[in-house]
Amino acid sequence: MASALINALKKIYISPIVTIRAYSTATNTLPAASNNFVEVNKKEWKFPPTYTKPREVWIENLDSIEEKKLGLCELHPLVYATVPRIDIIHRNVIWQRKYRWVSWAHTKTRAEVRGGGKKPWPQKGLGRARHGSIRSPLFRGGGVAHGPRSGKTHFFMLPFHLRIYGLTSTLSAKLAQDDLHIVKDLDLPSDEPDYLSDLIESRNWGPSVLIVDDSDLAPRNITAASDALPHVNIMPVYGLNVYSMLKHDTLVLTLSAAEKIEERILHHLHSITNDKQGEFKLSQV
Amino acid sequence: MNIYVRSRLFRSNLINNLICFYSTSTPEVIDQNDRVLIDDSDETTARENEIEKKRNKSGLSAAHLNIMNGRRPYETPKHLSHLTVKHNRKLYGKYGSESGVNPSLCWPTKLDIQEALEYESVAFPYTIREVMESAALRKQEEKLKIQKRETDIAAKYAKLEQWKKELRDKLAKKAAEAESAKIKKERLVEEVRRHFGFTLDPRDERFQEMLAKREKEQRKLEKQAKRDAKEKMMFAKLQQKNVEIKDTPKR
Amino acid sequence: MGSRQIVEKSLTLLRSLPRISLNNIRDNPGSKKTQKRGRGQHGGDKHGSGNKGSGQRQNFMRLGYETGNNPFYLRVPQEHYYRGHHHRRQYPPLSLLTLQRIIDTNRVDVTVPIDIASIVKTGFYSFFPDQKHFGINLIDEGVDIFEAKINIEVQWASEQVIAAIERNGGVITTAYYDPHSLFLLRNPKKFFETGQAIPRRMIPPPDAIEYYTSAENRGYLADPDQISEARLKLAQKYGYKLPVIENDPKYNMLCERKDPRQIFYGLEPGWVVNLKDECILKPKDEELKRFYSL
Repeated sequence: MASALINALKKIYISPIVTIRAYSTATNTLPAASNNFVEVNKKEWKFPPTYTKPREVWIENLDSIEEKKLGLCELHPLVYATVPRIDIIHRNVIWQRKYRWVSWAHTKTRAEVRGGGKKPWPQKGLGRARHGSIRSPLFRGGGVAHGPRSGKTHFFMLPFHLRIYGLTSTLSAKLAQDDLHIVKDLDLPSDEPDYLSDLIESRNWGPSVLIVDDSDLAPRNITAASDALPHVNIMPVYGLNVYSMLKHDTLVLTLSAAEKIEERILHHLHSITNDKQGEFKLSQV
Repeated sequence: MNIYVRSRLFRSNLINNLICFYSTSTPEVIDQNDRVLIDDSDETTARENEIEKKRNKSGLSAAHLNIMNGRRPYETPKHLSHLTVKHNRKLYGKYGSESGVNPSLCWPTKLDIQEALEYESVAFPYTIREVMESAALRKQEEKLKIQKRETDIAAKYAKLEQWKKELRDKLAKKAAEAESAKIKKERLVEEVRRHFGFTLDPRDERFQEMLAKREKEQRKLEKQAKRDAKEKMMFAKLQQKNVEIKDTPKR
Repeated sequence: MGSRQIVEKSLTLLRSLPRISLNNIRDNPGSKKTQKRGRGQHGGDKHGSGNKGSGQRQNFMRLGYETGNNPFYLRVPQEHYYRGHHHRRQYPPLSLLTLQRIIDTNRVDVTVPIDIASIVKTGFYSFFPDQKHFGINLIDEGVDIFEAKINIEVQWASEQVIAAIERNGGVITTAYYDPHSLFLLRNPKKFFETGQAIPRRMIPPPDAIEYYTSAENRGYLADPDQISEARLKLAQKYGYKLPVIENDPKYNMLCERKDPRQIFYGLEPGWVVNLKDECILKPKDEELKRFYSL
């Protein structure tokens, strides 16, 4: 109760600052708009695109609730604009659900159910069906034939290139549906969760947001702000995966993260992966 | 809230003490916890610490986080094998000078060198030159062996035509003998047949008797002829001797 | 991406569709066939295992057993000309055709000498030193279309192959590596990460020394003068004009050879390569130097 009150007070306190910021940003954006010209970061790729054009996306900011376009950057079409193969995305999701799933469902066999050692009635002479145990699967309360046995792993490894194409397909689909945003960095002016939720709402980013940064140590303010918002999550670049991207409505990449993803995926698409394509071994990471 | 903090504090101190017994690198940990002790009085600093902890978004264990960032997973050895030279070399090879391993470990020690040299003196006792020479020698020997064999064969080949002729003559002689014996037999049978004047079954008893008789006669005749020939020879020899005897006095 | 613009079309189509999420994706229809174990009176009759015997009980006879007959593997008499075949050195083949393909697709750098390490790195060739594989046998498939000027080092080569490479102004050497060196060449990164000093290459065994010292095979232990003579002889035999490599702009590259004790180009025995720090450590101790220069 008290904390809510404090929060409300803080809001009241912060709101004028925010408005001021909003004004200031408006003034800041004016010269850029008047120039009517934005510089595009042309990139020198190690593997330049051959058949499709690079995608141009706005670099946005997080330091104000209102959106500011800080510039344009190019994204490689092999990573961010390939065929969005829904089936590959699906297979990736299935794989991610399954590989760590150990099924603990368990039933007892006729040998494990208590009792049932004695022959229930003589073999002949009673006019009844012949039975050797009251725990046979035919009996009520008997063992289960072919039932689930616990500790069954569902681990399997999706082929290497399906994992790669799963990532590119999902990234492409996200970009095509305007659900992928590039931000310059993750520096927030405030550590209030409200600031972040307001920002998300004003930019129409859907309720759930996955923020991916290059480093695994997130800035302080965004950590504090997103801590109270269960639907806003931060992830390092090496944690990027298909399931999480689909789970969240919007994917927000920092510029460095986008470049790192691009570099890693392009590297794998253009290198010899014989060792990765073989049978999965535990030593292979 | 305060009680909670205190209990936590107490526990962390306990853990600290425990760690003191086992590891050597505790001072830092103690420092941190001391700070916590002071900070816990202030709520905001506690929150700061909490946030500081949450800033790590890797979701990895400390060791894996280190590996991910190219550092050695842990400073203190966790297993007997972590004390070996091999493992320390690997740490240096993977994580470079940051790993804190002295790179001089990468080279063999004097003892290792001695052992390696000893092994090599047994496994590879000869120099390239020696091996080459012995190979050349062996090749030469083989060549000589082949040469010897070839000369043998050539010598035998030279005699081949003669041997073939001898064999052929031998075979021809054998065939001729068989042929003459056959003719003789046929003639005998013909004679017997002519004696009876009609064709008789050669298996007939009379025929057999007659044949035996004829054969006997024939053999007799042959014997006689042989004896005659022998006598003739003897006679000729005697004559020659006589002539010689006659001749010698003249000399 | 083709004239039909499939990528663009599918991405523009996605813009008008609902957001792709966990609850609206599916696999291609018919891509997955689930195996079912029939239950009930007749559906679960024998579950496709047939009636009785090995098929149902999965107790198959041991391999080669012929139910009491003298089995085939014992019936055939031994063939002694194969005696010891599993101890002989093997050289898995690499054809000139594949080599040309590797060069054409720019998977190997021809401006530097090529050795087994760079060929293994292309992914077109693999070998297993622990299975008595001693390196590349460059074979003459595609000998007529080979036209690259390279300095290559292989472990075995026939006369035609040598002629094909030298006709194009290239240089070929046959070199022996002991199995331990081959492990290093197969995966140098793995070796460098062990943090060991690069060892010396061992000398060839007595039965291989003849091959690697003869100029006809361009052995790495052969006399260079004899090799140049053999090059000329081979050119005359096959009727091509031997290009003069002395006048070649790539003369330095073509003349580069490994030391008989060296395993990697540019790295000497005794050096430690650290990939993390990107540095090379060289020994200074006299005894170590002596040991590694033996």
